[in-house]
Amino acid sequence: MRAFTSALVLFGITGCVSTGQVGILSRSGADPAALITQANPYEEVGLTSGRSCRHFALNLIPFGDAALSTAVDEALTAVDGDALINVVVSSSLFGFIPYYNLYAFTCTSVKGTAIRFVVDANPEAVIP
Amino acid sequence: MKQARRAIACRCAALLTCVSLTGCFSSGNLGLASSIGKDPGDLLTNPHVFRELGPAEGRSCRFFIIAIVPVGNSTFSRAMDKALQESGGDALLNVTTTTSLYGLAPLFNVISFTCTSVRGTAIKIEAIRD
Repeated sequence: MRAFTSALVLFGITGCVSTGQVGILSRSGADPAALITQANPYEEVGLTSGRSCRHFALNLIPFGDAALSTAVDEALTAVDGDALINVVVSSSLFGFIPYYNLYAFTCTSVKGTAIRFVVDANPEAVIP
Repeated sequence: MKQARRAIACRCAALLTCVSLTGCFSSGNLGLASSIGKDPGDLLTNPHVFRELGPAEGRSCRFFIIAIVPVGNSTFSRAMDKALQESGGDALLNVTTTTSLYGLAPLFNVISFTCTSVRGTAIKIEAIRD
């Protein structure tokens, strides 16, 4: 009975996560090159995070969106920011009752410092 | 009799094809993505000159064997680093990111894998503009 419970706990959920770092992530815009070619003074809004997930039921029915851009949008919308700096990105893959392949999901998460560009300081500054 | 057998065989083949590989992917866009090596504060607050190196792409995958043994790293940063290493760039502009999740022989959960791909214009940041 104990072995059965252990096996159930061991194989009831399996998963793994990997992480990495990125310097800047900005939303898609008309001229992202202007972020580099022009001076864009900014203020730090604070730490923020976002997450997007795709679910896979019975390994046949997919729903959701695990794109990085969705996670970045969620993080920036929460604080009304324009871009993220010093970002930690992570990607995870989990499976519930993997023996029967009942349900799996993959998530993309971002966590970083949100910034907002100060338009008054530089009228030419580009808000992506 | 032969026709009935052939019909059953066709249905079995179709079912096998349907369940031997399943998957889905989603994509999105970002404006600028730079590696951790460049100081983000300096990049944004000082005007820089850059050189376009052309299109670059990278891909990173994580495999999950028998839903127990994980292998690989599927983060965006890994895919971006691969794209930048191949092109010798410092950052990517107009980035398209794609994440995918596939299962091979999903009925038996033999192997599943998730991949992140990035595609964009690689740039080399050369100097602070006067």
